Amino acid sequence: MEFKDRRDLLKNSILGDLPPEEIDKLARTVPIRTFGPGEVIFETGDSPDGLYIICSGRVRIFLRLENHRERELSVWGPGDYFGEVSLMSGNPRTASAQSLEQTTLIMLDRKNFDHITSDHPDFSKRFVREVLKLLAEERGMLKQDSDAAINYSNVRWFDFVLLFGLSIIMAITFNLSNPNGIPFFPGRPDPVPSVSPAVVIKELGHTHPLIVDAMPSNFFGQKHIKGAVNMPLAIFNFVYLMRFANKPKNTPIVVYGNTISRPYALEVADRLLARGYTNVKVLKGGLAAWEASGYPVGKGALQ
Amino acid sequence: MGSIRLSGWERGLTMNRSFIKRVLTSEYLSFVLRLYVGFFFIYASLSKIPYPAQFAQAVANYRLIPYMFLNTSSLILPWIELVAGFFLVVRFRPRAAVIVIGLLLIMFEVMVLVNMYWGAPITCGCYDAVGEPIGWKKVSENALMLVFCVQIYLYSRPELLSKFRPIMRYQSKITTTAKS
Repeated sequence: MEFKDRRDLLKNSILGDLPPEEIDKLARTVPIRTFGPGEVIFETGDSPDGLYIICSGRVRIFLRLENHRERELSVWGPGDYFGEVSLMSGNPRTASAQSLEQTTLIMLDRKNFDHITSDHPDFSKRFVREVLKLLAEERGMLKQDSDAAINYSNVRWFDFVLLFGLSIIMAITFNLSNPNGIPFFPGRPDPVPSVSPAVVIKELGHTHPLIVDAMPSNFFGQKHIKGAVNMPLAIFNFVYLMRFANKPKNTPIVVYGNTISRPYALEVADRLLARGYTNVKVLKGGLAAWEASGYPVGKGALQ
Repeated sequence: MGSIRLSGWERGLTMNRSFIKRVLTSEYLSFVLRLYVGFFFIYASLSKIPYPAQFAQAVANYRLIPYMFLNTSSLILPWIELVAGFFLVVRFRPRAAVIVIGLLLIMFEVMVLVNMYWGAPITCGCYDAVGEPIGWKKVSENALMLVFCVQIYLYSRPELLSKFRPIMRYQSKITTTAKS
């Protein structure tokens, strides 16, 4: 690089306000350095050798973080300078610099830098202002990072309100338009007179009541009142045709199978009443009360 | 003098331990698990949402939810699974989503264990009406999924570094020079 080019470059850089003779002197003495694309200029922790002014090319300044990650702080081009923070503080480099393309740099070493700052207080003041401005800008960036990290890891009550609120709204609207939709609050089946296990046992010998298990067939298969007919709602019509069609309407029927989640017995009893049966009752206490009274239970095979 | 000399086997063990620890606490594992758990819950919800009556029957089989709330919970639960799974996949408030999924898993676990204790002959109802019977396999699957949730909660990290641009002053300098 010619002397003239160096002088022009220095004139257009941060040193531009220095007297011409000072710039000429610097242009004659400062060393030039070239870096290939991707080459590291300095690393975090290196001792500061000087301040660099970019003649051509681009340089990126970045922090090396955990897990091989990097945080890019700035990208500088021709006329820009970098490496000033450590030079001023005398501490090791606080960031790394890497050339992004073929880059030519002018290096201002500590001796030259100290000389300029002590001889030209105006330049000194301006330079310090510029550096502080840059540091403030970088601090703003790091604040953005930490804000985002905190925002990510914070769990707020509103998140749950949003999640549940969205789910409830979607559930309501979808259910309204779904052809297979169900009511949010199911109507309670009409009450049916109940009968205790002891009475049923007594009547078994006389009126031969028909005992109906209204539970789903897998529960029936596991345990049921001996001699009961399994009649879950899902196959009500089928079982009705098979077992009830030829029974007189006054046949005494005892239904059981209420659970906390579903009054199967009441549902089946209501259906039977709707079919015209007049003597339908629900077993008080269900299968549990029956078994507790020591009355016979059966297992397995569908009836 | 007083230094402890480790044998090759011990050194290997220590290295393996630190490697396993690094893998288990890795944010990359977290990323994979987050997508897995998220998509899993979306998948599980999609089979239940269109047929609420069938799902309500599956819930009723557990005999733990009162009749009054059976339909409401059967209608809303799959949507909570869907929304939380979606939040997790797109990483929108992922920590809240993973807490909700974790609580759902704990709830499912309790429901399954209680019914196993009762010896109820029921199917899971997790994905469809037929489903697989409840048992220790289901319990361990849920427990594993819960462990995944804890990993996601602890080690999932935001992708910040690509989000914010670096300072680039020379470009504005170029444009102002061009303008003048």
